[in-house]
Amino acid sequence: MAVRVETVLDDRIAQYVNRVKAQHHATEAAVVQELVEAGYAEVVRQLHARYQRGELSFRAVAAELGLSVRELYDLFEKMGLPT
Amino acid sequence: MSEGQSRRAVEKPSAILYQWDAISLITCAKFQLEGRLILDYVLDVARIVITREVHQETVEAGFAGGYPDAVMIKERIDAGRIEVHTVTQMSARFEEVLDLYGLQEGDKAVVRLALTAADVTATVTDDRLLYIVLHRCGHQALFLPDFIERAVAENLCDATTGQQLLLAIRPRLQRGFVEHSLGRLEGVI
Repeated sequence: MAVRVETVLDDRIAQYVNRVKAQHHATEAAVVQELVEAGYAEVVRQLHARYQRGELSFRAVAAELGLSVRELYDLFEKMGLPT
Repeated sequence: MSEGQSRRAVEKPSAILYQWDAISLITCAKFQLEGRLILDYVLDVARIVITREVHQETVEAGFAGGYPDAVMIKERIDAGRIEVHTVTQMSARFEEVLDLYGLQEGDKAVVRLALTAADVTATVTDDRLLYIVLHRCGHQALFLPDFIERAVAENLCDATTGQQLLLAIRPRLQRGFVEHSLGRLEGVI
């Protein structure tokens, strides 16, 4: 389920978005979406690292991300991260 | 596993009971060796019990998400090949300790079953934190590759099949785990 969000960007992020937008002839929304997705992937990777170190259980990672255990298994698999 | 070995394991009414955690169960219900589910190789050599919570996580949530492995697990539960147990909370003091580890409800149910079911020999989990907690509680925890190694060591499964099973599950396991077990099965470690 996609969600539409309105937000205010920090100056530096706005400058980056404008530069990428001009460079790749992309829309502002597409550049911001790409940034958000990259940020999400980084959050998942960090939680995965904590899971692998035994700091968090798999279920705690799932809860942190608002996913079910089965959805997290799927997400890790898609991202090439071992369970 | 050869035909003879499979039959021998099935005929053995006293096959050892292992508790299975959700992640390892999903892996076994998802991956195959020579067209046969890894889970069926496991059921050839062991009895499996899961908590009501693991059932919810793997079967109910799996069905809702349209994951085929949920169907595989449910079929084996319906056939009486996997038992589902309900567990109750333990002492308030112990539950507090489990909370301090940051364990979730499903994790805690796995620990409770491990510590209260006298017939559960060990718990198979690939969750490092849960493994540590179970170990600290004096319960035997096994990573999935360790379970396969044990089946080979107990002559319930031949070494070649054990190696093939390890290779089949390798994509879902952290680097080093499968290689370590393969080395031990080959007798080089």
